[in-house]
Amino acid sequence: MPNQDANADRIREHEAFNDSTLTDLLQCSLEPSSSPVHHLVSHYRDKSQTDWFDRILVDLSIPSSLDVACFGETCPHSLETLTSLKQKCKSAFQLADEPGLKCDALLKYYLAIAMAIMGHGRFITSRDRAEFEMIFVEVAEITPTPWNAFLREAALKLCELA
Amino acid sequence: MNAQTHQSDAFPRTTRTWIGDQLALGAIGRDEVNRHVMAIYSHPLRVYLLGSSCRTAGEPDEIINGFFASRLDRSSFFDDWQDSGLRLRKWLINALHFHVKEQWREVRRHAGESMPDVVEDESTAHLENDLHRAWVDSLVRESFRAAAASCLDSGLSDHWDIFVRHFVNVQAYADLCTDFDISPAQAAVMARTAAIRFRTAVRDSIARDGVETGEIDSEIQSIMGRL
Repeated sequence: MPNQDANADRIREHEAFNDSTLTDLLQCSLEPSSSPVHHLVSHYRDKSQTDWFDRILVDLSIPSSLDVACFGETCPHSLETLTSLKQKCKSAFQLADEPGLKCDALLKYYLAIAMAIMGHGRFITSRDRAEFEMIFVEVAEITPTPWNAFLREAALKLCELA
Repeated sequence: MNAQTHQSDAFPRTTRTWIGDQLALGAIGRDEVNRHVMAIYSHPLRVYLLGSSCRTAGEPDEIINGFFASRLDRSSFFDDWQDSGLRLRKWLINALHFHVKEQWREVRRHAGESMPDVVEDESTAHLENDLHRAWVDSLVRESFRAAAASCLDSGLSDHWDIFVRHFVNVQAYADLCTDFDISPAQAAVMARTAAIRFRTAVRDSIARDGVETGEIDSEIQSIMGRL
């Protein structure tokens, strides 16, 4: 548990910014509005219920009792299964004609790739790794605990695989 | 009651914004709105006051505090703002002008006609610029605090430190590797998490000023263009 006083000091520091720093900080406040991950985050961010993610896990055949913190040892799927799952989700995304279904398929696609990284140390898509590092941290922000930490860890591990 | 009025009552205007949502929660929500408004707008209002003819009306901090005390508890104050379609900062400046005039007239009433009236500024362009700069500074600082608190609460203090050292102290990710025992790519990934928290805080504050969600990026571009 972080020291509360030390944290308060860190929050209070940097009371003044020059125009250059203000511009840099505002620049990183712009949102990449056209990317699929942005639509996914926007879709799930406003959901007040938390059971939507439970449904995603059921669809991915992830047992609710799974110890996510030790995913390297507890990964419930083989690499072949995850690769097949990823392909099915990709197809489902392309075929879906409703935004909610598209977002569900895309989230499962990302999770299948993250599980392959964390469970088997493999990046199972030919797409750009740096893009996925950022996708995982974006998606982590709308994902419940402990899967948010799982996705952040997958992003860091992907850097090592590169 | 005609049909148009009835429809308006059925869809209360006060639910359109974060402020409307908070006020609907009662006393707790009102406290949260007041805390937010004072945190973001005290500094720009003070800067505006110091640069305007209203500075002759008294001690700035006393005027600002009196203004907040007079306006923030009025149930119609934020409803009227939402109906106005103005940015909240503009609405508060207009209301501050009214407040200063009210106060000044009250003083005059007691002191007699020997006291001059508050002089209106002929040009407000420089005031608008000062207000804008002060508002941006206040908004970014508050967003910075909110994002820091969010990261630290989530056990992401290293993520926050890397973000600050890169974006504020302008250190290259490669220079952070030894301190955090990570690669430059991992430093960028960790900074991104903190950047998302900061981005969310900035965008929330801009939305609370009265900007529609779909217009936030163009508002940020406009803000940067005026710095």
